[in-house]
Amino acid sequence: MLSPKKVKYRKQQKGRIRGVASRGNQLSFGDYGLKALGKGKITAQQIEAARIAITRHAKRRGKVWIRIFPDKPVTSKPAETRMGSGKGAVDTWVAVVKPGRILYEMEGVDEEVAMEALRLASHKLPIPTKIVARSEMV
Amino acid sequence: MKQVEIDAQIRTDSGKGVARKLRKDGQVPGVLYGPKTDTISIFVNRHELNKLLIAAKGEQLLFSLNLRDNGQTSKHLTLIKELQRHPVNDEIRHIDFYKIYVDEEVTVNVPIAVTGKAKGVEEGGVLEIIQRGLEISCLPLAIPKEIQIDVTELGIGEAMHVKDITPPEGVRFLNDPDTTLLTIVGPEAKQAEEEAEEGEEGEEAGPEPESEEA
Repeated sequence: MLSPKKVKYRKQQKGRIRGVASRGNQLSFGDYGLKALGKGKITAQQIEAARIAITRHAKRRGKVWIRIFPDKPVTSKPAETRMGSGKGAVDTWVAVVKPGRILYEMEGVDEEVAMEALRLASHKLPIPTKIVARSEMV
Repeated sequence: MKQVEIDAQIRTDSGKGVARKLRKDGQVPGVLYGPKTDTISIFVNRHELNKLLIAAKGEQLLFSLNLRDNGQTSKHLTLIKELQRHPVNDEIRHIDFYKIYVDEEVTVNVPIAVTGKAKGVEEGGVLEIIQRGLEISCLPLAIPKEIQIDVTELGIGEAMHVKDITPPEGVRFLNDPDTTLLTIVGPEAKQAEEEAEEGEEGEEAGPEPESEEA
């Protein structure tokens, strides 16, 4: 699972997701990609599940790039705990995603395989997405 | 290189309010600049521009800009220097036209087109494209649609560099001759990647890993 090797501060505040992605919104490496249409926090588990879906469908041919990284810690309190007594322990790591962000890129496979692999990956993610291809870029 | 015509009008006001109003009315705010000319704020019809760009299918176009200003029309030969699109809906937000002259060389980025199936790919390797475009210098009317690279002779572990391709007549490559354009990655590299993936997938199938940062 993806997570930072070390962080300056263990816990972070929740924050809000505003605006659209001003960086990482174009295909940079592959011929096909998955673009976020909504905003959200994607957990390391979801990123991994989608990656596995892509590599399994592509039968390990081609190359896959993950364009997001879960660098934000999310804390949670244990079940049946009274409120108070400070912030909970770090439970998971998430990537903050704004609309327009490219999440995955693929190269070295046929269009049909890439489309299906990315479609399967999109079902593992909590936000609406669309598949983009380099040939559509003008 | 394909030459197309498009009408443009001079824009006297500037700022985000004006630009937003223009976009709402189906126009695209833009700018015309270049050597030996002043910078002019303009706008063009979005539908017309979209039609031309879709028909071009990614090919660089030579725009003959009919610029209207208070009933007077002037013609400018231009190239698209920059095209800004909305990150989500891909709508054109702004366009930069760069004025050029037929007898003066221009610097443009031309896409690379790979032809043939590499020997290394047939042996199980993967073709990895490192550079997708080449910076070239030539006369505007000699700009090629694409630079074709034949990869049939390329084996596993071999790479193609800028110095390995011959430029079309009248075209000069500006990239460093040692720049790698594409390479064939061997099965060993793929295998190492696969093993790493298998390890990760095995981990996923096993018991839920502890929250390491807890």
